[in-house]
Amino acid sequence: MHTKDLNIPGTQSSPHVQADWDGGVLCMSGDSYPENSFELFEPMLNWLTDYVEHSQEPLRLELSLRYLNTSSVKVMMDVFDLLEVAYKTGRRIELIWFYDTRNHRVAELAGEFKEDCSFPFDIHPKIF
Amino acid sequence: MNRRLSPRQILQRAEGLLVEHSTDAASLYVALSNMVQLYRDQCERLERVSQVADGYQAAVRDDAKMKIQSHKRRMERLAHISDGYHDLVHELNLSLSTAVMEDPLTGLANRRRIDVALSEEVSRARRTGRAFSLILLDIDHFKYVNDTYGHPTGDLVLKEVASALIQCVRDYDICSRWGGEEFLVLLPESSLDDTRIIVDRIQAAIRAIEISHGQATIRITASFGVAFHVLGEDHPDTLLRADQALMEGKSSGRNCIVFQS
Repeated sequence: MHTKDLNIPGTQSSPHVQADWDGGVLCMSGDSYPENSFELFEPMLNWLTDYVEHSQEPLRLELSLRYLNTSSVKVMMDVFDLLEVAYKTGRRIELIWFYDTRNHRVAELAGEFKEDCSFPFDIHPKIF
Repeated sequence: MNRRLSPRQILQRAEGLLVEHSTDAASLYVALSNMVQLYRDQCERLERVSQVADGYQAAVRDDAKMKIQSHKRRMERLAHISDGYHDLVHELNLSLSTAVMEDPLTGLANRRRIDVALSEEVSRARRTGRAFSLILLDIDHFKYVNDTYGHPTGDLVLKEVASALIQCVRDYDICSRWGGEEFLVLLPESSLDDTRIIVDRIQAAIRAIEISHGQATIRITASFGVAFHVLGEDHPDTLLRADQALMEGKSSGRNCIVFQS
């Protein structure tokens, strides 16, 4: 594993976060209602900032997030702002948000996030 | 004025003439006109400086306003999306509580739900003095239906009985699947006459059920035990009497309604 890779195991209340520097992929999956979301997501935000600053390669986000509490929503808004800035300076950015076909509300909420983003943002059904 | 003097030189010359008490009109004229020019230049400059400062202040103010507006918008987005997630959890809670209280096959109240309703009815009866009645019914020879036509047909029979029950009762009565092929109907604030009308209606509706299976048409009957709550007792006591009445009906040939003795 690359030293710059990230693998934060998920818990019942926090998502599994995995980042692959060479592949240029960041994955998040699960529910997110941790008590310390800003602390918990700091390594991920740092990884993203580093990657955007120090690599020229494209970046792809794969999200399979279900429930997000308010502070997690805030963190995701920060992530998307960061991506938006990078995208506007010419970086190749893409995002896919997978949702369980049995839970369309998750797709609707992903759509709410999408409204503020101009980079490619796909919302895909998936059988979990 | 041939030579362009610096403000300092203009001042020095004018001060020099004042110190000397000079009365030389020509020198005084030059000094004074230089002073006038200097004064005009300074006024103009001051004007320009204050214009720049005002513009700068306005820019800072606009910038702050924009920042506040963008923060406000962000907060609103955050609250809006967060509300969405709250709704999602709320809906999930509702469907879970339905699942916990409902019999999945028939959609009737399950045993947990009717237990809660029975306790509530006991309290209500105690409060209002108006007692409830219970109808416990069991489909006759249900095992035969299952063994002969298969379990899917047995399930269909249960569903048909459930919808017959729903159609026969009043809005505030509660129909439940008590177990296997047994159903319990709770009739709040009901007299003997009210109960008799409803149980007769249910019996007729169940007798009218016809289920096609290949060439065969399946018809069913049920046995009924009816009991009335006595103020002051707990619901298991009432239930016990309904069960005893049902057992009596079963042992005396089924397909009948037995009121508690």
